[in-house]
Amino acid sequence: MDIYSILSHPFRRKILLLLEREGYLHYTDLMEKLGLETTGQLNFHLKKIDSLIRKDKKSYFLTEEGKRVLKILNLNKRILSGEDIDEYLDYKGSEISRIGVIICNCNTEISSVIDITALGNYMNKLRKVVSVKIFENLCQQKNFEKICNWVKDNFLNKIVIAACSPKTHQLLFERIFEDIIDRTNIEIANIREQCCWVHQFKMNQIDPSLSLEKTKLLIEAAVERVNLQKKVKVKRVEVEKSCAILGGGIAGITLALNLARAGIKVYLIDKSPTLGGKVARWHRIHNMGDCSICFISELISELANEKNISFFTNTEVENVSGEVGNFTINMVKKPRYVDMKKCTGCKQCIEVCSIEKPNQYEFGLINRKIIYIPFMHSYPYIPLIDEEDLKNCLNCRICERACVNKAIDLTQKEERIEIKVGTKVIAIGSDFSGDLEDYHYNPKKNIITSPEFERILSSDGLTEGKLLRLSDKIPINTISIIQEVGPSKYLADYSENLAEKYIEDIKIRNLDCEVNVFYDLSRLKDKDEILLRSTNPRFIYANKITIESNKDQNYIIADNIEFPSDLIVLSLKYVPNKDLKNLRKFMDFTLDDNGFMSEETLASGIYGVGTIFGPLDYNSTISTTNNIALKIIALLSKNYLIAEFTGIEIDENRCGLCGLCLKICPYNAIIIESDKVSIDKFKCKGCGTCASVCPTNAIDLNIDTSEKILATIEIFSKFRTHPKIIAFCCASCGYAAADNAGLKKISYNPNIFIVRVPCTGRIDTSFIIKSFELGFDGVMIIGCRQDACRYIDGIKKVENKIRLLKNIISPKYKDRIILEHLNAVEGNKFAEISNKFYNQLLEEIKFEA
Amino acid sequence: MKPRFILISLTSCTGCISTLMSLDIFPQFLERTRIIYFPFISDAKDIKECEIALVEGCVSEETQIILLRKVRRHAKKVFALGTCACFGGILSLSNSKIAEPLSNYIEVDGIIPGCPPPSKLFGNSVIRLVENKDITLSEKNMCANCPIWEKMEINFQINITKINPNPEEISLNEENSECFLKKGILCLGPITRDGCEHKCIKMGLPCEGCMGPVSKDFTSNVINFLSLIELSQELKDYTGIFYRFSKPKMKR
Repeated sequence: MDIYSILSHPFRRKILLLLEREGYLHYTDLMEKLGLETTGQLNFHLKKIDSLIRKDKKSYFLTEEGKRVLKILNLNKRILSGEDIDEYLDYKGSEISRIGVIICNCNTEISSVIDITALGNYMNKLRKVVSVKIFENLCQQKNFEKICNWVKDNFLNKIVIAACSPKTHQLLFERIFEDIIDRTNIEIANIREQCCWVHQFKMNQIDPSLSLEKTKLLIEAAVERVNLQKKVKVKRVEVEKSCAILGGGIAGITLALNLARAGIKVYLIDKSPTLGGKVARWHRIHNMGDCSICFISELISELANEKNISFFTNTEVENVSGEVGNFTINMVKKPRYVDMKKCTGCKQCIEVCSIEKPNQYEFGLINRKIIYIPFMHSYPYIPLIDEEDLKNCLNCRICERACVNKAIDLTQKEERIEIKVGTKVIAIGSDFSGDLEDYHYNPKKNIITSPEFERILSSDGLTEGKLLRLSDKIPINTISIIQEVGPSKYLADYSENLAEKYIEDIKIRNLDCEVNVFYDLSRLKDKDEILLRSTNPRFIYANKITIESNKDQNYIIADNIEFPSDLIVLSLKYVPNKDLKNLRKFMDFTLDDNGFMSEETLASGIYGVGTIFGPLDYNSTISTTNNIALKIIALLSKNYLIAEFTGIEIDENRCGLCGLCLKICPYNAIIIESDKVSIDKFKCKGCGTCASVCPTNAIDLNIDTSEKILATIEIFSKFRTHPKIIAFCCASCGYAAADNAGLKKISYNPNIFIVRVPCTGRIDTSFIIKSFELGFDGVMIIGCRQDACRYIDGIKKVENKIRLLKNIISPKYKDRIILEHLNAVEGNKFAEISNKFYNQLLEEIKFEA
Repeated sequence: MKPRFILISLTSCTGCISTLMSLDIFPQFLERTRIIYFPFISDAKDIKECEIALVEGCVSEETQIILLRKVRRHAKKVFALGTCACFGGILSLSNSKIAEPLSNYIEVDGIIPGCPPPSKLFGNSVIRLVENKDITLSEKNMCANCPIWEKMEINFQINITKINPNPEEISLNEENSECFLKKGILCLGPITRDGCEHKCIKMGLPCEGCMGPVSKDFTSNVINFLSLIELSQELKDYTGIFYRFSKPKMKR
């Protein structure tokens, strides 16, 4: 009698636990503690566990064997109370397979078609199966505890659930057994949709014995599959309930506020000495009445009052390590030379400083002192000295003496800070750029860029919000805006809104001011698109635009027509932030064609918000930021993450580095570097296309292994009547279509066996050849429609393989492989195709015989 | 006791047995074994009980099937020697309906592939057999130890335009050579088992696949490989080009 069956009764377990606690126990004591009244029951159980306990002068005690067993039991007890998860994870994937089969009758849906007790008996006879249980309704809440106890009592570590489609209840089952069985060790045999609902005797005279046989094979294959499942490496990561946000612009601040209010500790890191980003210097945001500095300063004051937010200005990230849930970020805080705690922002030091420099925060249009505050509404409102400026400074130390609070400390050193966070967010925004020399950019001659124009419009800016020429401060009467001057090739659709915003703002200040917006069509790629889009009469489309200056007046010549303009505004384009390339060294993402961050390739635990993905207007920025906030809150609400990679594994002992996998991977997730092959686990989506072409089987999936698929085919080939058909269905469309046929109860022939593959690209030619070798008469491949493959082009890859295979195999087989494209609701089409294929093969077999 | 050996050749060029006889270890092999049946060097006696049988060549006559079954009955272990016996070889391209590799008729305990098997692998395998050990073959493909291996770039295109390089291009200068596939010359290295010491490649010729497949069968390996490359129109004799050494499955 094996140890698990000895322990399957709770009484016996209780006896062992009592003996462990007490050491020695008399027979009567045992009876009393167990609450038994008759001796017969106790005698029976004592006899069962006689290998684990020994009797000595009327008292019982544990043998060495008994103590060992108790150790395992104790482990189990702790597991069930959730104490020792690490040991538990080791235990869960242990090599011994104890497989249990649960058959769900689904309210007599199963037993009305097949003999369910015969099915149970057959399963019980299988060598690999420990126990079989038939349930009436597995998916009902009241049964959950019962089923969990059954699993625990039989010490199962792998189970097969014969019930409805995995599409319906797989997640529910995974949740029920969350604490006791690893989710990779739960296999579902789809006997309802694939058998009982489509092979009903009443409607179509299908032989019920065939249906029963098919059901048996379906479950047997699932047992074999779960038996072959190897341990999937799991890793447990404690979640650090904090978040680092790089970039304190509008997106960063909004996100920080959202997270802090949800109780998450937020570190806001900005490279510049002030928060607020670029928007803080803008005059107004399109489609929003409020001027930008008003609402930014409001946001910042909220931020300052939030306990959960700490911000680091003038700080750069040096290195990032760790993984989702637990990153370590090393930062360097550059010296400010002013003590932020002592300074009150009285600006005495600035008044006494004697050296001036162009202010980069005003685009160099006006000067600032060596010790300065970047702009009027910067936060924190504390002066600073740039590190490189200190060398050029007179070193007169007048500022030091002028400071009443002794806040200035010219000996400050850079500070290294290390923080631990659960997630990190990149919100560093984009830069602006344009081919300025082509347009004779010169602010002194009144040819300026759009950010500079924002500073003119802004009430805290250069001209305090009045429309004046920069050169001689004369009021402006004509303004020309030239669009799309940027170097990037994409069409910036926001520039139109921007121009409309400028027109609005100009008209408020000076109703008589003439505004013209120019497009230089010779510089644009998608000319038609831009011509069709705008209807504003002020927009002028010219084939060629040149700028000429005559004394104080500038002229725009658009297709030989002269437009005198007091001010020319060059509308700059968003270009990717130059820090992105630097960030790539320690964060996982790639750049898209235009050089912006590509959202799809962000590694888990890293998020991006704002304009790093390309131009974005204010409303979209806020809404995407809110979405990301929800994602982060959901992630950080967990106490620990169990990292489980369900994708591919590469056996280096077999890999010959031929690079064929590299060529077929739709996500470029495989890397060969310095004679070594590796997987980018964040890019891999687990389609298994690479495994299908590997000539040495070095690559395999860790769940849908080739071994499992071949074993499934082998078991299905035991079906006794010909013609037998094997159908490889992709998990997203083909399998769902077959399920749909079941849901609609459209009957088809029971000779069709469905094998689920993650993607049709996973189908190796050897699967097809093996099927024919094992006696199948036809192979069906059901995939997605060509334009709708979940893994980009898996269906095209398999189509290619089949076309080539048909060139080689004998003509007899050519009609016996069919490939169909279905979507998930075309159940009737699935049944139609299978019946047609079945009849065709039936004819052929008759003809051959 | 010395292990007893049977060496038989079916339809073949007898290149594999000749190679065995030209190996350095052949005298040692004769010394350490008892040869029961070896028509090549001694008068043919009856096939009797033995430990190991080495069979060369592929089946092409009915009588050979009977012979083969007799060998299987008498030998404890049967090994397929050379590509013809392992995978079918050139002969299996014939019209004969029964030209098949050994494994289609009897159970084979192991293979020594190659056309002929490369001397190092052959010698090691024979010694291991004499010492009653299993044959170990490489589990990698030819690219693993290829002298002109180059790192494949992501998104590269393989456009095959010819089977062999032009005679003037064949050079022994290893420094100048680059991957055949990148040059547009068909090389079956990626789908062929390693272990042949890359003789052809060192001579400036691409791999033809005589060592056979690694883990999967050659038929599916070729299809998978073909689906990844662009083959020019005049090279569409798939059976002739790709299955010179391995008989394709499902051909009949």
